[in-house]
Amino acid sequence: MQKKHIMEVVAGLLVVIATVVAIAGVLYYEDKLNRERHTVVLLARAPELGNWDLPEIDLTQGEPVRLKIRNVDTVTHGFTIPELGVGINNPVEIKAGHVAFVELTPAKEGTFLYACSVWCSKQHPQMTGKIIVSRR
Amino acid sequence: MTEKILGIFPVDWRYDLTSLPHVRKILKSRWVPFLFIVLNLSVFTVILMAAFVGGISAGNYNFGIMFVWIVWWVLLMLVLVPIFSRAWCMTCPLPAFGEWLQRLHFLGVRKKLFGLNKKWPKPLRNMWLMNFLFLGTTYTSGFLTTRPLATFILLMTIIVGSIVLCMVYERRNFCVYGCPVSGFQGLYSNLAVTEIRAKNPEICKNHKIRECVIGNERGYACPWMQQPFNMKRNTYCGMCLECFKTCEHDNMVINLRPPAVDLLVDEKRGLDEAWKAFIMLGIAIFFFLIMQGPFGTLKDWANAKTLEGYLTFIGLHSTFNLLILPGIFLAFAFGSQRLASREVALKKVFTNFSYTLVPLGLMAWVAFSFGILFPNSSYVLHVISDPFAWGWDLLGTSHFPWTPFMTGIMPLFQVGSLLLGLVLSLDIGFKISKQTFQTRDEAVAGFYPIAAFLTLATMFLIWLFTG
Amino acid sequence: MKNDRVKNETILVLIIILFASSPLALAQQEETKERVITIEASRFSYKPEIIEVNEGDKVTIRFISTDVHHGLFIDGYELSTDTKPGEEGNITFVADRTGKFAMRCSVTCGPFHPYMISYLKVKPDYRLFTSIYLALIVFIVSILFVSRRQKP
Repeated sequence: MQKKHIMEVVAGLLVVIATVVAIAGVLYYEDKLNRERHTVVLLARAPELGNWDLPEIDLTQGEPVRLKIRNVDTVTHGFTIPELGVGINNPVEIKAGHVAFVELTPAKEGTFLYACSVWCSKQHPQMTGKIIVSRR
Repeated sequence: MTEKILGIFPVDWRYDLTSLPHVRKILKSRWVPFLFIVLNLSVFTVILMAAFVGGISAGNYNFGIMFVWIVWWVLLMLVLVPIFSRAWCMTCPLPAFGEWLQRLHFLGVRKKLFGLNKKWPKPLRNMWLMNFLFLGTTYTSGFLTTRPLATFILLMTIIVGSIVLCMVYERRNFCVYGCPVSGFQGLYSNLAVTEIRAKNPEICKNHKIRECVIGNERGYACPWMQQPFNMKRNTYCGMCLECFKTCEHDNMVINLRPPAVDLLVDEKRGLDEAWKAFIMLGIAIFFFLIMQGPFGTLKDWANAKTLEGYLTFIGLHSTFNLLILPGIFLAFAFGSQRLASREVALKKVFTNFSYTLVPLGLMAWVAFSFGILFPNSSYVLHVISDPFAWGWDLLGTSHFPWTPFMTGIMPLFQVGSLLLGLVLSLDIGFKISKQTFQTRDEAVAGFYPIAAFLTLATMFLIWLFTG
Repeated sequence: MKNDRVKNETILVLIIILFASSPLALAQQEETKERVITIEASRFSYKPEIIEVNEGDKVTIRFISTDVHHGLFIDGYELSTDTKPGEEGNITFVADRTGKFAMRCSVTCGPFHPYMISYLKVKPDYRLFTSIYLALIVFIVSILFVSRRQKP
């Protein structure tokens, strides 16, 4: 009877690994990736679907940050911070369902506009947000 | 003279796959199919998570949508059902929780099942419920295949629903009579080249205590409520392998066999299965028109751009599948009866010949699947590297661009499949005609209209898919 | 006897159908033309939904979008272009392959993007005629096969 119980426990463990542990593992891995570098996750959506999920992004002058832009929409979006030169010479385009990484170290303090740089909807001109850079 | 399928395969040819080394031992272990189910469960965990996290983002870049509607559905049609019969049911993780709850064990055997253990209502012991559930599910295909959250809701509904049904009804009644996919697999597994049967009927005849039916300390009573010693068709056998464990005479086997032989078994043929054949063929036609056709209006209807459009789609879709297609077939069945012998009831002619739609129906789905596979399978490479759209690149393929391949010869694959379906349907059709009518002359005359229907249907499908 | 007559009449009818329809397959070749076709993309279909050209035509497709970024990929020819609102994409090719080819959207443009398809038909569609004839031949062979007299 001992053997049967051991088999049952092993079977149960396999089920837990396949489900709960798998989910936990995935979440842990993603969290680890975001913590490796200071990462700010930004969701790109057309204005009618919610617009950028961070209308204001707070950054510190001189501190490197990695923007992880996830396009959770079904059309291509773009990203640009004209006053900081992001997405000007090298356009940042994020296809639907894809993710783009933008490395950024804000040199000056102030409030800067960021916007979608690809025509994505009738309300495309409203797809903007603010980046607020404060002194160290 | 033994009948032969396509003039090549003797209808009663069987090769016992369990005679190969180690196979029998593996099938008799309680770890099988448990290990396969757990493996599948881990993939489903990723599918469910990705579908949930995906929300209303792009379905073509979502692991959940890709793996359910592209990988799994195509695999089911092209490989699993035609070759391995209901082997998907063997490994399906959706009712697993319900069953483990009934058994209060993952592996071990318990005498009584936990739960109310009610018997399934008699009037529903057929395919009708599944016909309507499957048809109903197809109303939402526009959303299921494009919005990850919709796929999540469908899968969770099946998981929760099966747990509830497992707690109320005995054993795998959900799988046998309730699962939308079960109806399709049930009928089409009649085509498969594998089967589970008792090897030596003499042994079963003399073995009065049917352990395969009532269970013993080595395994459960057949969860699919079948009589393993007596199975004549694949239709309701979920290949769970319990009977391999319970049979003290080691008499259960998995056979390799010619295709479509179950369609010739004149047992429990019914209008429920006939309608399943019509529905599957009709849905293939409608889905092709909407998803692979050029008509923007139809796509707007299926996408529910307007309520009227959506209701129009549901109305036309249902009417065609439930009434129009069967109606057209009825006319040809009527012709068959008139030409052959009025002594055979029209209902019998109609029902029997409806089984000839199974090979053609499967080939219509195979052709449809090629239409998905060649243009869109490259998306799978993206989702396996970045399953949750979090910017991962596990296998280095997350930036693999959309790459259609071999689109030039894709129509040849489609035409080839449809013609193969026609040939098999005609072959089965004549054999069924000989079963339906008394004399060979009657069978020949009765076959003409059915052959005409099958050929016209094939020509229509060829034109639809490739013209 | 009756069966034989029915059988012979049926075969005769079928042969007549076969010959009567063969002129369609050998349709007169039209003069090849240069065509410029404008295809308008909007979620989730193209206008026109079906384009028909003749084998050998030189086809130029002007591709415009009325709402978002769309693409156009031609099956078989494996040519593509894309366009954003206000721009114009272009594909020029000689229609040297006959048959029906799906033209698909190659830029994800919304939920129904995978179903955004239109058709290019290059006539005459030899493949279609051949396939339909093959189905007819299968039918005739099967009828002849079952109708033959069994040896006593």
